Amino acid sequence: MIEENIQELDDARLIERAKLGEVEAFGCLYERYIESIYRYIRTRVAEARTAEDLTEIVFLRSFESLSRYKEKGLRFSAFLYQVARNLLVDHYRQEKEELPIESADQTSISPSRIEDTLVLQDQVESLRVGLEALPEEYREIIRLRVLLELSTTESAQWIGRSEGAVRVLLHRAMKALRRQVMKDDEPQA
Amino acid sequence: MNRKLDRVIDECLSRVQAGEETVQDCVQAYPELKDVLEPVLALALRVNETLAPEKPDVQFIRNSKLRILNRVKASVTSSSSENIQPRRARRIDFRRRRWSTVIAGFVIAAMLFGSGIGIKRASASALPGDSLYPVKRAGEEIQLALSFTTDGDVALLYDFAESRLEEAQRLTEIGRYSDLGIALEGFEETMSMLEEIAQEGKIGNGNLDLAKIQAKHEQHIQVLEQVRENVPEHARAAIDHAIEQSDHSQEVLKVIREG
Repeated sequence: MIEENIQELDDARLIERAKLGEVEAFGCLYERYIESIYRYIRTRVAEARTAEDLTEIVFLRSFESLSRYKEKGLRFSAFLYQVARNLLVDHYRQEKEELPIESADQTSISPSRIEDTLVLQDQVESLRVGLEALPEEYREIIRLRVLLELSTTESAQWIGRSEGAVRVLLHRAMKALRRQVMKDDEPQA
Repeated sequence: MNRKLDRVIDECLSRVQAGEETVQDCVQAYPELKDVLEPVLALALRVNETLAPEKPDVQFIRNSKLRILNRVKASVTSSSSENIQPRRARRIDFRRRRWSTVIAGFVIAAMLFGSGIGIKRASASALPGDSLYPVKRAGEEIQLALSFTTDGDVALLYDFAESRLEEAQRLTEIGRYSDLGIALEGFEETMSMLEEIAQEGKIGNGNLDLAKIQAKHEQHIQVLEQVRENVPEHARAAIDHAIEQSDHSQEVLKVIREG
């Protein structure tokens, strides 16, 4: 008998098995999507610890509602994203405020000189303020396409729009951000 | 025109993100769109470099997976996702064998006296696979059988669990990976016994409170993770299993603690 390598199964087969109670199948799905879901949540909360807690809840809730999941062209990652978005709504409701798209402590650049640090802080602040001023759908497409580097197809699946709509949104969002950043860079009168 | 620009920005961004092209390559390919394309792509790169979130911590991924799968396992078993149950199949009704152990203990004790008290001392440092190791484990059984309070049982069981972990560490140091499974099985068995006591609601009333016990579990997981880092790939599955067990016990305690 040929043994199937569970890692090589596609999402649909893994979901089928997970629904039947095969824990390892759900483990495979977890491994496939933990990074993108964590990173998405991390763009929306300031603390890594909070992002970890919420990510874990996303997977637990997803398992609980797995029986209701029907593929019908919707990728499992998009399903997880929807669970994450709902969870974030609950989270903000409890926390009473939504945090900015990103916080400065996450940058991977480690400047060696004080001037560099100040310039970087300035840049981060300028981008952060610019992003905050954008409408939510622009911020969301920047999170997905620019920060998480999801493909157009995947971004479209996640937000439930067509690929064409994603392209339009991306262009508009980047143009709007550019305007905001330029406004911010202008010397104050 | 706008539709073409939307598509070009999107495609160029994908190629730049994949490292297939630079911003300049894209601009050269579409010189007529340079004025819009260049600043938009440059800004996208700047946003990514400055604000992209980090990847999740490797330790978090591993521990979180274990926690999630334990919950999933529990919900599959009980058909209720909220209800965490210990793995009953692996539980051992150690109390039922208490009196038979006491009797057996006296026999072993008599034998130990007969062949010299040094054997008992020597067995204290015995490792799985050593000839004196069964004596060491039998001695523990006797200690447990002679403890008549739950607090006493719990304290002893944690001592034994720590002893199994020390054995695992020692076996790893000397490269005896094939005997590692015995120590880890012993550890898991002890954890199952503790879960049984916890399920009966008998932890938390005496000197050992749940917070202290949870701290012990965290220490156990740390030790197991250290061991895991120092063993070859083939020996890791047993350690993962033991981590899973400790994690599960901790989860059970947490649920009990939270009521």
